[in-house]
Amino acid sequence: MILILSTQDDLATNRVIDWLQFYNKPFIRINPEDSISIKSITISNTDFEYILGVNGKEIKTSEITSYWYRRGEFNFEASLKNNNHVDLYLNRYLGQEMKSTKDFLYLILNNKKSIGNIQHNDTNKLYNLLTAKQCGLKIPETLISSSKSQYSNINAKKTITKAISNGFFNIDKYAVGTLTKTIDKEEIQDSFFPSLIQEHIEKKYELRIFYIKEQFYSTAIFSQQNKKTKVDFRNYDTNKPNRVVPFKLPKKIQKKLKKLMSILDLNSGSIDIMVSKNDDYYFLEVNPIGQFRQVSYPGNYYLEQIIAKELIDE
Amino acid sequence: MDNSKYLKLFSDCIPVKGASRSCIYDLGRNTYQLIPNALYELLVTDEGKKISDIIEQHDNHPVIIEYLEFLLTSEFIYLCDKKELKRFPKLTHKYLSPDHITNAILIRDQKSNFDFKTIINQLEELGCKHIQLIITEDINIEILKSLIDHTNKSILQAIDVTIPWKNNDDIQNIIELNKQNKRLKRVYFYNADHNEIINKEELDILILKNSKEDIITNSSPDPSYFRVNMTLFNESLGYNSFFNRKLIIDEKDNIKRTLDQKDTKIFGNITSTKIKEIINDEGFRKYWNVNKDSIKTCKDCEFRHMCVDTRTPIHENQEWHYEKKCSYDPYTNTWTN
Repeated sequence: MILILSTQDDLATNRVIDWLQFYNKPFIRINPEDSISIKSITISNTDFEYILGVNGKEIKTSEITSYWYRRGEFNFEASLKNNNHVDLYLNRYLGQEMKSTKDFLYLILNNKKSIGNIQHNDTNKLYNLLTAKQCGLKIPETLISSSKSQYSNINAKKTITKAISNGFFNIDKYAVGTLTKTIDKEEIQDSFFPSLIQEHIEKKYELRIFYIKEQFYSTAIFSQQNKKTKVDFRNYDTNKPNRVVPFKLPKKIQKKLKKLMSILDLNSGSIDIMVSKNDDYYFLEVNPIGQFRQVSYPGNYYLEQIIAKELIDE
Repeated sequence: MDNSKYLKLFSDCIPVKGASRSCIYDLGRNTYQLIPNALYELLVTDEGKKISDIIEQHDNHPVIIEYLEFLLTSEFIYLCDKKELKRFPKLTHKYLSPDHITNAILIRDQKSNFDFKTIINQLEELGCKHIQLIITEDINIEILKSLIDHTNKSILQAIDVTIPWKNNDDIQNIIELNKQNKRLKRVYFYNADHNEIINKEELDILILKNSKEDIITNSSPDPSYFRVNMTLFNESLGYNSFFNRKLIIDEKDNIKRTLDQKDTKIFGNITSTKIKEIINDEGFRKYWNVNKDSIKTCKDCEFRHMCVDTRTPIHENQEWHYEKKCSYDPYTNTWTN
């Protein structure tokens, strides 16, 4: 049995599941909308079994052969719902108890053959950048500062700013995404919230790479000609979409990226690289989950099938 | 234009040669550009060469420079350094699908009594995401609604409905139906008293004077049905883009491979035969691999990988051809109606 943890609206998961069905392999998909209960966890000197209840069905972790952490989390049923003061603290304690049980499940699943894991959800872009540099990859000059006086410390003619974290936040029920913006030096105030300032690379094209099973599937995005996507290719132009074509990553870059992924303990992920006018390859970031459809379709790579096969392989 | 650079065609732009003109299939932007055959030759023989060499090779002919400028401003080509050429491989033309059946045509009338839900369940098991529902006689909207309701919670993504026209109330009924089930994407009304096309956000309503037969067996290819995209292009290279992975269930619940009246071959009746038992039957798959490159005249047509042709090909004298003539002639580049 293959276990997939995803969200209800994730279409990429559907396509991988189509392939699992094609190969006639049993699977279960769990979304945060599914309520999960603990039937029993037995840890004895002779036995170990973790049994979950999912939508009225029992799932034994011993029967799970592989696991794909796509996104989302297990939604364990809250046991008590009460408003009175004492129960608030009691509930908090029970929540702690539940968390340990849930974390245990993630640990058990990580020991299975797996793609991705929830611990990587909060990947740290700054740490990834530093590690990339240590692996011999070129990175843009980067500074985090809160004052204009520090700004001159960055060794770059033109600069951009972008999120330090994943770049998304919620206003009520709406998700807001942030884009990369160029910095106008004249507009910088004397002091500001600590922000990431990065060298602006004159790019020839950007690479979006999906990595799985030590293989790289790359596409080049020609976002340079288009004013709208010059700084951030996600600022899509729907009338004249950027050219996205398959790309062969140089062996030297592959080797360094493999080292990086191994140090970061990522067995899959999406990597962003910028190729400069001088043919230098600048590592920008790695996303442990990533929109692999954006690489799969224009590259005609059938990554959904590759992921399904990886989950099936004994 | 920097003449010291090298000519590279964006790999999502694919030149296809026809008898007297060619076409660039722009798979990234889902569009196409007709070009003269001379430009096709330039693209296939001169790709990867230095711009200055290409121009010199053609004796500095102004047309060559004009061609190159055109390709560059249309973003079909880009100029790169010699060492970069090997970084940009051609797109593979691999076509794979996890779906055993990709498209089913279901014909229903008042006498077809086999449980529609069972058909949908069977199709779902085979990965089918698109169905075309053809209603052959007046039925009330409630019956149509009850049929479509059976697709709720299924993996189906799109439903097209072909239904006889009654009156203007039909339009509002269809709009209501679409609100309840977004899978309903396109509705054809036939035998109408006028022609009209209504586009609502994700719903197209086509009111047509045409008869049912006109719509279903679509006499001849029509440029409004041309589709340029990667999946269809790749499928069309190896398969017949209309018949591949198609299944038909007629009003008598018979499982068939075409809508052609002359094709009397039946692969069982849905009341007693399971669809998955017949999908590997060679006869059932007879037309799946008959790609346009193996059909007389079509193989010389520059539109062959964007044209979804509903005509049934015939095999005679070791060659595939169509009985009904196409309204496009690729040798003269003219359309007749």
